[in-house]
Amino acid sequence: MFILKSYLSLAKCYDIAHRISSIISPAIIPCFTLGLVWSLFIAPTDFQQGQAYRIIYLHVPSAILSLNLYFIMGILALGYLIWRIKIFSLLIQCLAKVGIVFSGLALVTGSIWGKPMWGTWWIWDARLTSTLILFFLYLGILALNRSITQSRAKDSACAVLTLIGTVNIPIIHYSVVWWNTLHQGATITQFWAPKIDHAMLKPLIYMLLCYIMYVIVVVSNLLIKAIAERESHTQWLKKRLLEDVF
Amino acid sequence: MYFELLNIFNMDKNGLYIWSAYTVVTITLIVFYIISNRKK
Amino acid sequence: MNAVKIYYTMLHLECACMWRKQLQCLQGLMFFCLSVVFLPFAVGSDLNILQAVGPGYMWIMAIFASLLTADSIFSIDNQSGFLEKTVSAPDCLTAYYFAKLTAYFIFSSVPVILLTPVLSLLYQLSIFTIIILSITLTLGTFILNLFTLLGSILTLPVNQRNNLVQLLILPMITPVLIIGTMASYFTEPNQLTFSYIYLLLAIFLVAMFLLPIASIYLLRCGNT
Repeated sequence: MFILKSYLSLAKCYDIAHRISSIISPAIIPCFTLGLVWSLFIAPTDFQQGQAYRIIYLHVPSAILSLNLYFIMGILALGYLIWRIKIFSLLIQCLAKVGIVFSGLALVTGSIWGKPMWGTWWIWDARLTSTLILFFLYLGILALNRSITQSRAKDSACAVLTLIGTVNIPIIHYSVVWWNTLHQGATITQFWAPKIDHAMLKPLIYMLLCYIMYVIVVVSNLLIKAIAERESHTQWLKKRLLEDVF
Repeated sequence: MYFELLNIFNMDKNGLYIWSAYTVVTITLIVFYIISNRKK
Repeated sequence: MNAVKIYYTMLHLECACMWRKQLQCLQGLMFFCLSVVFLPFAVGSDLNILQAVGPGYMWIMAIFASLLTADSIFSIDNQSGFLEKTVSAPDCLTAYYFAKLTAYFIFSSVPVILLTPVLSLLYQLSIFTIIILSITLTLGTFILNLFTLLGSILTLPVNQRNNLVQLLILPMITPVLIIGTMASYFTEPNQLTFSYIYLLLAIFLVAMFLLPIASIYLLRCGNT
């Protein structure tokens, strides 16, 4: 247990993040190119929607990830509040930035998908509305993070906010689903069929793995910057920065 | 192999939406990666 | 001194302070009244539209009216050092928090709730809708005040005047808004409305249990 505990120190995480970033970053572009080619050209055309369905290869992974990243942030917030592990609060900061980008992407790709499917740029269906609220939750955490300057107050505040948001997300999701089914207008929302063909499922899972790899790399980079900013006055960081220069 | 999307010049509307979505996502991901990698 | 006595003393103090700053307390109320009165000028006086939009619009405006003075709840005590003194005594802190909660509810939400039946006449809502609107607004604004206090504690260290509390709180208050407005849209008594009110009561109980714990914890650990 004590071995694991040494990995929670900021210096160790700084080194690990550097290593992860340098190992996985070169692999991003090849993997994503393969994913793009696979999803655009090799996956079969849907007979119902034509080519327009291919946006799910961008929309679904970012939507899944934006929700799951929030739950991971919730667990990290719980860990920070109970054990005061500093790396967790820095991770929450970095994950919030990634979360905003991904939920924004999910919203944009969702509305671009909505245009050929439903004819309008925005539709108040349950998933898009939940993603909109998730976007505002992420925005709130980031805004709070940037406006408080003292690090201890900042960490506690963001952790409590993340935790309450995590508890709230199932409530929000179910109430939005309920609200949507009761306020059904004249438009009939078409839900994606749960039975999806294998040939269409495989590029989806592959794109999801690509996105996860991207998240790992970007979070490592952001973590490096956050640790450097937080610990800019310590000896070990000055030593590392000198080693980087040479 | 379904290469209809490569006809950039004779594209129907669906193709336009797909290409715009893919370019938006790619540009956002690239820009975000560059932002995360900048040495201050 | 036990906690209840401290609670009453602090509540008396809060009410005396708020009574002096009458314009600040009336801020929310004026916002609510003006926005409700000026809606027909914007959408036309067609009663069908007003009755269709009315209850939901009044809910949203009640929420924003309660959130207007959210950033100044703890700021004066924080600046004068009273908050740090209160934090160091556990009984004191709980009583202080509940006194702030009650005072905030009385001075920013209760005027809105009292004026809702009067202003609903502008939209010619039915009597059943007015009653349900008042009940759901009472429960809803109390839950909102719980969240607002938590939000203002979260944004205490921020040194500028800001609207951050609204950004933080509104996504969390969405289920309450949805359930409250769904209850208020019925024009005749029926079985479904009371199920929504029971749901609001359930959310109220959960929030009343969890949020004071989180807020008092934050007050204590944010100030040490």
